[in-house]
Amino acid sequence: MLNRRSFLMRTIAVSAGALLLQPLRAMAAWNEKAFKATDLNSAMTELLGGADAEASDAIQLSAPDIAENGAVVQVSVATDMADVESISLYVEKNPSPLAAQFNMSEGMSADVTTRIKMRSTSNLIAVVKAGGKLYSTQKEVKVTIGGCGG
Amino acid sequence: MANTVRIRAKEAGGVTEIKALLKHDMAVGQDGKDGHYITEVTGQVGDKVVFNMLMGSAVSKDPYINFKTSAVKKGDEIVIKWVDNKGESDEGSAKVK
Repeated sequence: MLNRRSFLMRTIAVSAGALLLQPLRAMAAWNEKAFKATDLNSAMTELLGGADAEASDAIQLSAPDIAENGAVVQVSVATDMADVESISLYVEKNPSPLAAQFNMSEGMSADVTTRIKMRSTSNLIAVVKAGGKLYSTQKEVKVTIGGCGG
Repeated sequence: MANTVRIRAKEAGGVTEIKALLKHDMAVGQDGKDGHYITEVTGQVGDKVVFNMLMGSAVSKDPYINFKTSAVKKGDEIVIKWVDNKGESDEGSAKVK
C-alpha cells in the first residue's frame, strides 16, 4: 500500500521525469541522474520512483564481512519473491551510491552476482522491486583498502 | 576491440547459468570529469532479450556477471553485448553447454 510520503515522492519523481528534455526511451535505458546521484535516497528515487523500501528478510545479500580490496567486492543477491522486476545495488558511502541494476527478463532467476568497488567501509544495500513494491536488505562490509582509485 | 567478452554458459536441470567476464577499465571520473565505463549489458538469444543490466563506474574493472535463466537452453547461442558511456561497444557469443 502506498503511504502518503511514498506517493508524494513518486509523484514528484514522475513529474521531474516528465520535464526532462530527452524523449522517453525504452524502460531499461541508462538513468544518468540515478547513477550520478550523490546520496542513497536520491539514487533510489531517481531509479525506482521512491526511496521507501520495506526491510525484508526474503532477500539474501551475500558479500564478504571484510573486503581487503575495495576495488573488487563480489556481491550476490537472491530472492524467492514473486513478480521480481528489478534488483538494484547501492554502496551507501560511495561518491555515487548506485552501482548496478538488473532488469528481470522472462525466465530469469532472481539470483545474480557481480563485483563492485567500495571506497570505504559502508552499508551495502540491495533493493528488490517486486509486484510494484520496493523491498530491501543491507549488510555492512568493512573495507581495508578503498577501491575507487581506478 | 576484439575479445572483450568471455562467456561460459551451462544448462543443468532446465536452468542455464551464465558467467560473463567483460574486458573494460571501468575508469572512475577524476576532478569532476566523467569516467569511462560500461553502462549497459544485454544478453540475447536470437531476438529475445534474456538479460539486461545497467551499471555505473562502481562496477569493478573487467566486470563479472553471473545470472541464471530458464529462457536459455543447451545448444542456444547466447550473445552478450556491452555499451559504454563513450558510445563504444562490443559483443561476444557462446554456445550453451
